[in-house]
Amino acid sequence: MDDVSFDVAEGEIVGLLGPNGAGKSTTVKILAGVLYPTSGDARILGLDPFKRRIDNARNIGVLFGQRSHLLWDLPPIDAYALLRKVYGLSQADYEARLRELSDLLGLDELMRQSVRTLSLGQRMRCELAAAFLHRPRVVYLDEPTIGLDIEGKHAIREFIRSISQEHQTAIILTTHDLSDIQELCERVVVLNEGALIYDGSLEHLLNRHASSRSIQAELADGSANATRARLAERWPSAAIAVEGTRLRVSGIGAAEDIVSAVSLIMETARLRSITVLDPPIEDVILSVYQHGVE
Amino acid sequence: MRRLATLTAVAWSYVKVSLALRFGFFMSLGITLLNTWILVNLWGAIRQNSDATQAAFTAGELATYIAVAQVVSLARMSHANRQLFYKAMGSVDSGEIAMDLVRPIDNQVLRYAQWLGVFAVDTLMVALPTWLVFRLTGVIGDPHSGVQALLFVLSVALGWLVAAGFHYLMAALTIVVTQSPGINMFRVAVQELLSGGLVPLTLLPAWLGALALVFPFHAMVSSPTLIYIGRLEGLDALAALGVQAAWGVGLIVAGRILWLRLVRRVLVQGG
Repeated sequence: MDDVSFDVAEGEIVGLLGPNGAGKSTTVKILAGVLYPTSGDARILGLDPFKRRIDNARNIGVLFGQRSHLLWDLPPIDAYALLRKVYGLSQADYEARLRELSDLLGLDELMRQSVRTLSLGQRMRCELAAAFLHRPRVVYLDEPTIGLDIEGKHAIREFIRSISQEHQTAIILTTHDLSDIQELCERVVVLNEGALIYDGSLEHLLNRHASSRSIQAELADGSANATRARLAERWPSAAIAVEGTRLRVSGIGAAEDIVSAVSLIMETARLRSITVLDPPIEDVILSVYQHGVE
Repeated sequence: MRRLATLTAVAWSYVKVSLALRFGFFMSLGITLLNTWILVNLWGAIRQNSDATQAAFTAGELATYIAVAQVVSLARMSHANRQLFYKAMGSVDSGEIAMDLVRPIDNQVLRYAQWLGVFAVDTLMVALPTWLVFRLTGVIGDPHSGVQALLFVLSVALGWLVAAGFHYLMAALTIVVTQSPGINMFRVAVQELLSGGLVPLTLLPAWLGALALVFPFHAMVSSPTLIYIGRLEGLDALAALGVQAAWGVGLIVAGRILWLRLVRRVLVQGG
């Protein structure tokens, strides 16, 4: 890691992004008290996570996609009962939290089945309950939706959003699935080769790549060619394609030009519909990995 | 108080985990019975042809020693216990140690509690049935008195403490020596021989017998077994318990120091 520094506020969901080997997991492990930094300083709710490991562990929840809170040969409820003791929860607190998590994650039928009989998606829901059982104030989620189907991903994203809002839990989300980031995070921290290369809003990052935005319009018959000609005259380097009644324009440039282009299309053509498309987030993030953020 | 509640909860969880491995227990029991039967007969044959062995032990004493040593020894190394031990040793290699470190529990307390749970179940499911089979078939005699039996039970408990301490040291060492199978092979070879589990230490060559007393292994098996057959009685037995307790406490301290020194060097690769 090289001079990585960032803060996370209560209730914030921050996406931690970077290619393989960028230092995402290392960062999370340092913050969780698993790894000892050779230099530098981390503070979680005022505590040094390594030197005050046990105190820090009471405040945090962790989900590492490849590791498990559960006991493989026993039902999840046995692991939860153990965690109750480990975190010193009262019986009443434990039951209330388990009920809340069970309702949010649909665990009623799963909690009493042996872990080895659960599907990946079911097990991940049970793992999330274990990570949030003691109502941690900070949670690190490393690839929480890895390997899940669409329904499973949706359920877990809904849960993360809901529990963060409800309890003002700060969440750091590490993932390669950029849909997780788009749906959950307003802010992203991007690492590459151990260094922080971007820390800011996802929207800002997308705006920086506004030149990659495109316009897609569905036109009434007869107006496509005239519209194409006017666009080409104004933006000679733009890529303009007409397929039947569909017009596609890309490479226009800055956000102001996009607005101008939309106005021009609306003046020239008889429109059925028009849409401005953001570049795919994968392309934006790949560009950030490769070229950084100016 | 809270630490005790946590320790009990962890131990109880591992009682449940151990009980879930029913097939493993049947295998453990079967292997223990077979091993014990083979060793008792092997040593019976050796004794018949060895003046030194005849001078050292009566036939009944030797059979009882060998069988009780197997009961005591294997109570700590059943299928479930082995799995737990390998898991502890492999946790650095596999990265599972990360999950131990994100919980608000002392690593040493966690490991001892896990082993305590497994040990309790092993004792009930493997050691006691093995003892019962060989007791009912007349291979094993009884301790000489109720006091001796009580001292034996105390000695087994302290032997477990020593074994847990040694296992913890070995597991902690895997932080720097990442080849846990190599450490385990060393442990098996040394521990089996020098604990008195396979052969009474007095029958080893003199230098090896003396060497065995320098290490903690004799406190795991030899001490309780010698108390059972009455070779250690009265003050001698109490002294043996004292030595076991000293090793138990010493290994707890050594384990703690080693862990605190090495934990900064833990590397958990991958996600």
